Amino acid sequence: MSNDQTPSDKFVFPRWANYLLPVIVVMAAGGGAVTPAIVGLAFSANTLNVGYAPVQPVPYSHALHVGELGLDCRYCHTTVEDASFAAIPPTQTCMNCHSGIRSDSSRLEAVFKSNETGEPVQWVKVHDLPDYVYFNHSAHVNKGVSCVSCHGRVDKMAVVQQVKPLSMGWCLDCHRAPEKHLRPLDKVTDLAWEPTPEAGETLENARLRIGREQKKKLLINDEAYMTSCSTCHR
Amino acid sequence: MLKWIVEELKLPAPPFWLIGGLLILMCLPLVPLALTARARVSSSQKPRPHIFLDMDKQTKFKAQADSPVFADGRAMRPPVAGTLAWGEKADLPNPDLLAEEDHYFRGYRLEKNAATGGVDTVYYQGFPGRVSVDQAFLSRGQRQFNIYCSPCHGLGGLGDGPIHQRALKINAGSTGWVQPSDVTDAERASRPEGHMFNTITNGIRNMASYGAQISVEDRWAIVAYLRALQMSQDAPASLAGGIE
Repeated sequence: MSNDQTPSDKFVFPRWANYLLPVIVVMAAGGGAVTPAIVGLAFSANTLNVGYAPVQPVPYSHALHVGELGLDCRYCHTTVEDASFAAIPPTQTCMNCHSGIRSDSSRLEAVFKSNETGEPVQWVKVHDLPDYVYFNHSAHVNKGVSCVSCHGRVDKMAVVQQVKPLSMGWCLDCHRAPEKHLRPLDKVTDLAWEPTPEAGETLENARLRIGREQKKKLLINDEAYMTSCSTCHR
Repeated sequence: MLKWIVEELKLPAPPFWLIGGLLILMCLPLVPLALTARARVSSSQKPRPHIFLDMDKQTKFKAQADSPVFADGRAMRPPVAGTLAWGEKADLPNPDLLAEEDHYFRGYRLEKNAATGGVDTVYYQGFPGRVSVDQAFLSRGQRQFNIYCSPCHGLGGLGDGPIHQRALKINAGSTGWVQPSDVTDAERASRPEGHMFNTITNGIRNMASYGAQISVEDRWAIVAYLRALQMSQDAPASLAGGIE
């Protein structure tokens, strides 16, 4: 405040206060545009859901067992073709091999302890859908949807990590256009599978051609059924 | 710009803290943006935060969940001994076909031995009447063999699968690893089908039981495929379709 003002009981706004009105208007407009964008980005499933990689009680590496040794997904996840859930294997499945291989390893302590006591190994669920979603594994793997479509290249993961958002919008992307993800039934657990393009065909077009063939052959439901609420929520 | 404001609009220069404050405010949105970018490129050992639960977690148990109710912590309960769940009727022993049921479910029968007074295990020859061995059945057997058996026994059944190769590489012989059997050799080829079925179901020597991993019908399909593998190892030239 400058000194040449006459003393008064009245409060007089200083002259720089003239700046406040345009500043407030510009900031309100800018904030109104930027805030929803920031909130949308920060709370999207791509930010929150992707990248979850919990520490497991046993440092089991899919990269070694599946990628290197070539175990089929179904060797351990035996129920995936018959049940809604892909079972986490019992300790007995680990012991099929580890009774003889690495049977002195401290990294397998939790497995050996479980084998002795009968208490299960407390594996941590990575891909956890909300409880109001009734996802069925058998309905997908028996209709040509590969494990890799939702779980990514697990055969390359030393530590399993969620790589897809598994949000409703992401599910619907495929339910609206399943041909983008369908493949021959004997390639469902072949995570590295790529279609073989015909002469002059791009990889994407080959994928779509095979997907359309499978869609017809496996009698995939139409879009109205595939996007109906009660297909996934009951 | 400041000069233009002061000279042309005849306004006082804005105070320093106003400019500084504005700059800070304009930078503030970069903080959540940076946090978002970091969350997108990195992995997290913690599950996503749930601000609004929205019935994501309901008071019910999903498959293989843990439960505080039972002493062993399992929400899924094993069936009470001697009972069957609804829908399991396909595997109910048929009292009229006891012999056939034994053949299908166990692969062997127990017979009293009058000479020794003990009980003998007699393995069934051939396939039970419930299964029909055709091309589709053999293909199913091949598929299941490749999933559950080939890791140790190899795709050809010679006992040279990738798990055995790995065991050799890390010298697992010192910790109790034994090479898997060649399922095509003369000894295995001479065994009755029921014996092979029982081996898959309950294991043998170092091999663990696979009864929990492979269904009854699939075990029979694998036995059928094993017969095909054995035949392929000792096939007369006449079977080779004219190839000399």
